[in-house]
Amino acid sequence: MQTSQFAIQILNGLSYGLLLFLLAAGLSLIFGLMGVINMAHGSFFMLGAYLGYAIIKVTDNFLLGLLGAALAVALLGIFLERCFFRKLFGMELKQVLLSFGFIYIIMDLAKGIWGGTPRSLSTPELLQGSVAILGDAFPLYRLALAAIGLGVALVLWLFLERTRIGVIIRAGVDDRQMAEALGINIRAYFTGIFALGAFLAAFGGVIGGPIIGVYPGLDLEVLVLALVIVVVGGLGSLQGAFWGSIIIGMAEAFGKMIFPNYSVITIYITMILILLFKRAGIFGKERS
Amino acid sequence: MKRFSPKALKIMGVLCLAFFALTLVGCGGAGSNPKDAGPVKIGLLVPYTGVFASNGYDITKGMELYFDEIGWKAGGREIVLIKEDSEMNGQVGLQKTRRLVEGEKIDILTGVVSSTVAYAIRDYVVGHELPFIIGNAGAADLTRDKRSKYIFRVSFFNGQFEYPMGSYVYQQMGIKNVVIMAPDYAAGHEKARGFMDGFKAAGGKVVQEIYPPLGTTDFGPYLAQLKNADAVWAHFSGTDSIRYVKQYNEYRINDKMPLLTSGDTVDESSIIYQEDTALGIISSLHYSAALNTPENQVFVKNFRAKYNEDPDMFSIQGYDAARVIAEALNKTQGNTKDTEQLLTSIRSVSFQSPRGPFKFDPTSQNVVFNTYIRKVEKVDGKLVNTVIYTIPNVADYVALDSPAKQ
Repeated sequence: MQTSQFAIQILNGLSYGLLLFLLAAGLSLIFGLMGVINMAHGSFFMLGAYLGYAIIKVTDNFLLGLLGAALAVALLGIFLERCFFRKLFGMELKQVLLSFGFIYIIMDLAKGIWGGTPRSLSTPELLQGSVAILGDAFPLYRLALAAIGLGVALVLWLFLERTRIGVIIRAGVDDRQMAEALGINIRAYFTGIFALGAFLAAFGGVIGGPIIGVYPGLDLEVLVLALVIVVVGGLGSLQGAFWGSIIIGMAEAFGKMIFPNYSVITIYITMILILLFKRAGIFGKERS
Repeated sequence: MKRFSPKALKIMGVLCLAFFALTLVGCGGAGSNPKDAGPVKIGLLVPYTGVFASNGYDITKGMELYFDEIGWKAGGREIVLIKEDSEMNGQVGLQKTRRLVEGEKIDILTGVVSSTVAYAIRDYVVGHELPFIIGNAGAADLTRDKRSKYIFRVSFFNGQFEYPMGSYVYQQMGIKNVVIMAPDYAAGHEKARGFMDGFKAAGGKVVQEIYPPLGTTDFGPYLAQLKNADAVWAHFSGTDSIRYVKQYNEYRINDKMPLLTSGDTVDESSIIYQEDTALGIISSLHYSAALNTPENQVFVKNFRAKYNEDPDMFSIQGYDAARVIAEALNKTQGNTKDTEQLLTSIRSVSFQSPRGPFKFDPTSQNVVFNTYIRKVEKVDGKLVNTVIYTIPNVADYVALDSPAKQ
């Protein structure tokens, strides 16, 4: 394999991983704070992609589709949290089952509105074309995707580390009971984190659209990837979601190169290997 | 009131029974008059969900256009089309086929895009003596080792139009070695083998073979590992074909290696989404919407008028399947009860289709057609598959010794 091809593969892995980070970050933070694995997270991703597709089709404006879809799904997240999840406070298992139910509702709604044929979003004109990497070409859009993913990671990190709300959230993730004992109304932050997670998932769905497209079944496919990433990286950890995404993205890209016919299992083998050495994931905390 | 004597009751009972039996005999049984037999029920099993959903819809459009043209009547009987979604899944396809046969009591089954579904229902169809006119599924075995007198195919078998392209690109285009890419499932492998057999028979060399999983969305990692060769030959269908051609262009592979493909990859249903990234691709197929025969010009005009889009390979396959059914029904004068007669009629159908002369090979019951080499060009601002070469009378290149026994 030539050096330029190797460099391209690394970029493939990075860009794909950073796209998945948007999904994994929300999932990880929601679990960290609320103790709930939101199974409908993949559905938020898919719904975001469908809404983005619909908005772009009407307005021909990618940015509008991106922000519109992300905001709409964030609002949906707020609605779901306040009207449904909140009623089951303290019963995490029931909340997970509830989120499972939302998977089916969103899945059927999407199929009813947009049908069974896979759709694809067109790459925004500004980001079409390729850049030269050591003599080979790499699509500009994927590079932009990687940059956006890194940017979001940075913003999230600054938010959690450097703002008061961020500190409170980190305290809640660390030890919810203690934080409440100190007089912090942690529950109020649940809605916010849930909405943020939904926003990021839908955002990812739209910017991933030009590469992945959107189709029935996408929700479960990305959910599995996101779950693998948060398990590998450690539940509740933003750093874990970040490095987990990079590792899984690379595993996908190089897996397709080394075992092209069996690439579907490389990520699971990676996950098993990491769990063998670090039971709670790379940055995970062993929960008692 | 006077009571009836036991003897009188007995006679009345026998008369009632006789009357009842006569009524039954009168009602049941297909009359020799076609008008008593009701409509001919055609079952159409195609995917309306998933990667090949667009193909399912296109076959349906082609069939309905033909039936429209003949007023939904053939052999003196009305035609009814009963559609089911196979979801491209073998188990679902079998379940829906059962429903069509046992519930709806169809006379003829047609459609089936995916070979997986075709294999899943093959034994059931043959066991129930149901004429099955395959509208797409290309698994070669269905008209080779697994052939049956009940199974006909109007579309192609995987490799039928790829094989002659193999020698064409070697001899006429001077391409000596290739990289092969196709999805990792039966049809992908069969089509690739068809091209490779033809290419190697002419003297070519295959440098690398890559088979990404069906439904792959991101071909980036695969495109980044191609070895150097004179060209890449690829086959992808449905949404895979759109993503593949676009990404092939995004990674600028065509600067180094031109893209040759199966006709499916640049089918009319895909090039509208691939847009300019498809320009210059050379492919082979049994059809092109840009084919300049009088039959095709009429067909394309009518298709555009009804559906506001161009026909593609799936539409013409549906159209031809419908015509085969209609012509066979005309020959049997609407009789669908005598299965042997119906099968003989189907076997002997031959006509001038928009894609050229149409007939079945009597041994395999697979279609014999012209193969066209096409090039994607922009004509009047629209992308079309211009026909640059014709190879007539293409049948199976594997010799079969005899027709199916059952």
